[in-house]
Amino acid sequence: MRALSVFQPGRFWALLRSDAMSVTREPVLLINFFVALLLPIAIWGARSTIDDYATQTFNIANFSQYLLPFALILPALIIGWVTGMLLLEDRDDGPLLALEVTLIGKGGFLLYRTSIIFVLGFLSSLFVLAMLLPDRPGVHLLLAILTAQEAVMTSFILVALAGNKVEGLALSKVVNLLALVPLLAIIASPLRLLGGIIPSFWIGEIIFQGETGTLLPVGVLALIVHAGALLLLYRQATRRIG
Amino acid sequence: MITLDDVSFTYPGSAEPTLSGLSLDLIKGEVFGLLGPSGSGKSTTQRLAMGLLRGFSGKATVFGDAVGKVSRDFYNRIGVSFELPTLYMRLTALENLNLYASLYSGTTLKPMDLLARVGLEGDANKRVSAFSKGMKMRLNLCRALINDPDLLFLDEPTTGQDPARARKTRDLIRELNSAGKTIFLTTHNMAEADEICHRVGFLVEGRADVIDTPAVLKKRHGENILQVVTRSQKGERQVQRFPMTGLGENDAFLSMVKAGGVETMHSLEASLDDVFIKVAGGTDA
Repeated sequence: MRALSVFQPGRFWALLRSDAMSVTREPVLLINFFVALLLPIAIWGARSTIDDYATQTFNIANFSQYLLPFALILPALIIGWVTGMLLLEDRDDGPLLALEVTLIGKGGFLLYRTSIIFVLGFLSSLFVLAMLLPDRPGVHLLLAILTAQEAVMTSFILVALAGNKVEGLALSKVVNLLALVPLLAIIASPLRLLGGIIPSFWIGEIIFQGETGTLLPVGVLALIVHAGALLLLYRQATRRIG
Repeated sequence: MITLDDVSFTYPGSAEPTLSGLSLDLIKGEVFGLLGPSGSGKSTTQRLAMGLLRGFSGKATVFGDAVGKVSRDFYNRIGVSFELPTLYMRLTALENLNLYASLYSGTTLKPMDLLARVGLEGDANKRVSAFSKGMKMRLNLCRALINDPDLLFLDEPTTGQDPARARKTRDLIRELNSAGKTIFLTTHNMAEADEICHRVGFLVEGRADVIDTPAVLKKRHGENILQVVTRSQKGERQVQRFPMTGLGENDAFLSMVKAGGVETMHSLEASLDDVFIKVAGGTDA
């Protein structure tokens, strides 16, 4: 498997350094990522103020907990968007074609990009969880894995469905709605499980329902749904990039 | 080096085959030019030989191995300059070459040496997004050479270059060939093909039935006649044609030469443009 040779340190570092240079030279991409991280930091810093205000004004207790899924998923979606836009550029500007005639091929390159998205999504999720869900460390690993997959899926959605960067921008608005889907899990009725067809629902289910003793089956289901969606989107994305 | 035997290929969703019974041989050490109208399948033929297309019929081998069954190590031995730039726009020329160099194994060429060969050494640290199309194509050529390949695929290598720069690129292609590299190029520029190709093939309706050296093709499709333009002492211009056969014994020709006043003298073999029009038709898709 020559594609795996993409993980040779020198090769991996060269690709990573090039991506880092590409992102830092396009401020919009870089700023988006940091702005996305500002939201969980702001919630963490103003948690008691937000909760007090919501209690006094709307009579809703612990309002900040409802913001948690959004704050958790948004940075991952932004990471997926940034890397998805880079992939669209690689496809439209031609580097993907040139990569196909190197030792790593497109397959190796996708493997590299996917691993980077996953690691960034995973780390950003751990960062957010440590701030906003410190009292449940037992679910951090599971939530970080699921959220990292959301980042990878976002990237694949852009590549699979967008014809160019402009379409990619438009599509990202729709994709960002996925960050709201976990809120379905606050509904007490079992009918909420209909939302389970959308992977991000399960992140809300783990956050809001996970304390009722159903964490294991919910976690397994969440991993299965995410893996299925990831596989489907991977196939669509690879078909689109040839 | 490359052998295509009765190869046919149809793109998914297309009713008509792009390649239909194509056969050609690329001999080690030659510069072979595949010529033909736009959309005739020149780039498709190259991509098939690079192992980038699946689902073709017929037999295709490169370096003696069946196309599609070679390992990825195959890509260490080939270099490809695509018709359009395939570069990272936000990176500099040097950063692009360093990145691509890292994606091959074995010895790679020094990026600065390559940039100097195409006259881009002064632009090494400029971002590619600031390059003209011609500069991007020159950098594309550097990228194709970075792994010091045995076989080079060049798709319209002088696109976007002014005549002086295009001449330098052609000189470079000849130098590379002299250094032992086999070159498979496609071009719309017949003069370019005539100048640098040992053999050319015309791809028409998915086949290349006409393959030979430019000299033989020009002779075969032209007239074996010498055209002489003379001007008399009174200033009258006269055009005369003489069969090339037995020219040394042609009294009329010899008299005319002795009389003086010859302005120009040209043999009327066809140009490669003429051959193209005769073989491929006069209209471009």
